[in-house]
Amino acid sequence: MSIVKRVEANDSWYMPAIFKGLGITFKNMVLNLVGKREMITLNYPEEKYEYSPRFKGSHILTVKKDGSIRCTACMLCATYCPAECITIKAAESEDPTVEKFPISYEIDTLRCVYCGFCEEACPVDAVRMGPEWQMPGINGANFVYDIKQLARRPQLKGGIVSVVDEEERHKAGI
Amino acid sequence: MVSLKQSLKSFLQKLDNKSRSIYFLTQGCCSIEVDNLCSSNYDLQRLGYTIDIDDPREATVLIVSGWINPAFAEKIKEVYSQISGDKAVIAVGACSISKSPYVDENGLKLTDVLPVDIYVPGCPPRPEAIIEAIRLLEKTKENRETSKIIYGAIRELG
Ligand code: SF4
Ligand code: SF4
Repeated sequence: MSIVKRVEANDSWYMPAIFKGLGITFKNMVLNLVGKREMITLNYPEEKYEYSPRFKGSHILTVKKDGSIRCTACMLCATYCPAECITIKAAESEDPTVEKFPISYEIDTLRCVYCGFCEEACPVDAVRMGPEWQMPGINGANFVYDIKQLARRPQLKGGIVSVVDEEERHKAGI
Repeated sequence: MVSLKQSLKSFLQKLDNKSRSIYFLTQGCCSIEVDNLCSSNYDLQRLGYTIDIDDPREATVLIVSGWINPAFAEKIKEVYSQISGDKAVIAVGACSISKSPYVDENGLKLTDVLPVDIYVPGCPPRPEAIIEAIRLLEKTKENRETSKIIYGAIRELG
């Protein structure tokens, strides 16, 4: 079966379509010149985008109200991480109410894919994805972040306190 | 006298601009973010870089991204040997920096193939991070031998 498309009047008269297209171009040019519309170009070093609170950037280790690390060294994040970039060393705490705590917690940011699985896996809200994107560095810079960098870097202004309180957590049974 | 000084300065800056042409050798998801630098949203040419070049012989900076297998490594080596002058390499994304985090077999790091100057971690990184990497390269380049003379002369002219 062959299909023959009949030529319509609009198809044979192509000039109106050309002028319609040129009209759109001209309208956009005038609007940009007059400044009626916001330009979409980002003047990067001066202007910056506002990212949503869900943005998955550099990791943050949250702290308790007394300032110690929230993490309980359960290794769930290190097990779940698809890039295998989290290294945790657990140690026994002197505080009898705390079972164990991480004596070293390292994230290799050159391997991390910023998927947010560690944040999902953590049962005590100890690791979060922060709002700032990962900064580039020259060859030889330190890309393996330790507790000092993750929990107490200057951008955090003294550390993020976890909302899950110890008593509330025990009441809820987590 | 002022106009002569100005024209000399602009000539030197043009000479310097030759060292600011960037060749993209990208694949994978990072190539979307790197190509974004040519788009009207981020427009790298507004900062004085040349990005619309087809020939690596005109470039001095190479941006590599994506998963590197042995065939792609051959291509990277070929392109790197054609780049002229003060060469610089920027590795973008987790795949090219430290193999693919997802695939174990057959992958190569970029450091196995070439000397890398700047790392941009992320999967994929934001286009702003890549602009930041190029600006970081500018700072390190000021200390190099050949561009020292040009930068010094521009600073002398004020
Ligand atoms: S964001 Fe993903 S890849 Fe990065 S440390 Fe967390 S789980 Fe691992
Ligand atoms: S960050 Fe969370 S999931 Fe990872 S070891 Fe600490 S408590 Fe466990």
